[in-house]
Amino acid sequence: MASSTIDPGAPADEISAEQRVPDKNRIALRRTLLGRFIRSLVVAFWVMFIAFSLLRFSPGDPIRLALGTDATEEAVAEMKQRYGLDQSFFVQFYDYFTGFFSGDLGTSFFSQREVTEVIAMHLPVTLMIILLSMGAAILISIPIALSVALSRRASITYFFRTSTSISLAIPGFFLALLGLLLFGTVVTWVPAAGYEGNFPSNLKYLWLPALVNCFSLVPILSRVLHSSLMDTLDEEFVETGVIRGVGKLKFYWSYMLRPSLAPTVVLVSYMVGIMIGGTVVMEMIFSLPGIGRELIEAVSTRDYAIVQGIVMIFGFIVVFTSFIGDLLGYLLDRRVTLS
Amino acid sequence: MTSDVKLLDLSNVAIGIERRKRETLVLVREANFDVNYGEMVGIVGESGSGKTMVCRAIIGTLERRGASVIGGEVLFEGLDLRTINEAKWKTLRGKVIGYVPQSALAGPNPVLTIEKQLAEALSQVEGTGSMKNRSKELLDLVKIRRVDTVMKQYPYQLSGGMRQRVMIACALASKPKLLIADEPTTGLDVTVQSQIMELLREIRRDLGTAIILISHDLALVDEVCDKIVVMHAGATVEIGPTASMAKPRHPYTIALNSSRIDVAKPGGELLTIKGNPPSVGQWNPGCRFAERCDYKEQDCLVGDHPALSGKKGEHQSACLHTDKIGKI
Repeated sequence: MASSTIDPGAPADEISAEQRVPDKNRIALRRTLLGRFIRSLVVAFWVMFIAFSLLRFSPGDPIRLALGTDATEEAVAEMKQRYGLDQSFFVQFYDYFTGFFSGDLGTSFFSQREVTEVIAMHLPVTLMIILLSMGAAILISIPIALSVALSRRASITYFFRTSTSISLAIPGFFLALLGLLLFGTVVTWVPAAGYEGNFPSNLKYLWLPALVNCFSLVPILSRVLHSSLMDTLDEEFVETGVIRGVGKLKFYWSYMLRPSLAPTVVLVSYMVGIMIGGTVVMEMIFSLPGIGRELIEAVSTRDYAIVQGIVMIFGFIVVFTSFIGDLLGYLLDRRVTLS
Repeated sequence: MTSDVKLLDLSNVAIGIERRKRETLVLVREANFDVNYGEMVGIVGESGSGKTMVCRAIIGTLERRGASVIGGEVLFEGLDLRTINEAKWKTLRGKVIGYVPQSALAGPNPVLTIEKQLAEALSQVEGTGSMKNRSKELLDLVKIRRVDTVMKQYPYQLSGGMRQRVMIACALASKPKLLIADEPTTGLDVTVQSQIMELLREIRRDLGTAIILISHDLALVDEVCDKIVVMHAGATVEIGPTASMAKPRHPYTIALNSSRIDVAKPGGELLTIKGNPPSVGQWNPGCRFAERCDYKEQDCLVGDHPALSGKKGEHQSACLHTDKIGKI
């Protein structure tokens, strides 16, 4: 090729206008990431503020709820002062905000437990369910979407659409009860209640709730991925991959999945937020000591410290995962913009 | 290479795509043309005339779209491409036969850097020297400057013209005997278009690569090709050396010619071809151009599509009334 007689000095088109040096790219990426990070911090602050103000502007007095109806005015005033509830809203928020940075999220009005302790104890259970559900859903969705997209058969696509719709239409709590009935009593593959916290042994309590979650996650993920894959299949560069004769695995990854995955990855990261809410139901049905159950109990008793702590953590998780999701989407496919 | 074996020879090629209920939709029925070693052949026709399908038949990518060659012969150096298996295809596709895809903007893989894509193309063939140097040589060959920068870039960071140069570079990695360029300049502006054309012309001159140039632009093909093939509704309707094609012998070519913007009189009306090309699956018996033809007679509407008249290798036309043409 080097001995070619084509003159390399002849003009190539539009070089200067369109080219960006990779180093500049990296700097731009760093700047974008920093910007996104700062934005996430701002969002996190608002999450904190809203979590803090939600209950304070909702009816019901936590002190009277905690002390009971026959508490004396003195006792109420004394407790109010102890928890700083006699001060103005903004002073309370300032105290909370500064406390946050020294790892103090307050204590429960009822159980006197530290909020951080409650979160540390119950959050792992919830996160574990979410991780299991998400991980399984992704592992199931990718091969399904890929094989349906590659099959090119109308009947298979039809079956795929119908079955995912049906699966989506079944309510999670119903499936959960059904599953519990089947695997908890007919065959005893799952303990009907109870929980133990250590990692491998807790799986026997968690696999069923995760599986039930998959029934609503897999249809959504596989359908989004399937439609991205169909778009990708129509693209010219897939033809190029076939013609270049790249290996099968490389073809599936570089020519099909990687150009199609970005929307699904971003969706997964947003779904985590929805899942946190959805897991509450699973925790109730399977009586798992997750954080969602703690939240519901705390709301009903106006336990300010617990509610705001948990809501804030939920918010932080959502902010964090969507940041990671956007970043992953970008790393997979540079056409995705991070602005 | 005996002189009577053509590099590529298509005779009466038919291509169909399988639809639901096992019915086959015929997309191409009478594709006829041949390519000599080192020859530059232009295929022109409106959208839907089957140009791209014919390309895919030559490069062996019909199957993944559910289509296949259902009739005729596709001979590549005397080898019938209909009879070979996938393993044999792998030794031809992207190696002996190169391909530059239709759309410059969507041709390169968007998630891989240019360097990786060139390496993919190069890893299919043997060569000496490091992958990096071989890649650079390829980019030099298609006259991309600042090679080191471009290698690290993703396709979206390049202009359309640059992307198409990269695609040509990939296709040239294996020094193919035949390069198929499917509308390589669609979506590029005019100056870039002529640069790409010039590049193709030089590749053919310097490397001796035969090129099939697919286009809907007769003027473009006219300028660079040795031979022109005109397709309409899945059939070759006229074929001949470029010089001789200046006097077309098929009404469709005449119509195409007179709708060229560069031959229109200044201030005069721009001519179009009346009607639309017949939709696939709704082909009438007889000549499929008859409905749009000024020369049509009763016998045009019955029987099979007219076969190409005259001797192979010369100017041929698939019209029953060639003698009348030019007399109206």
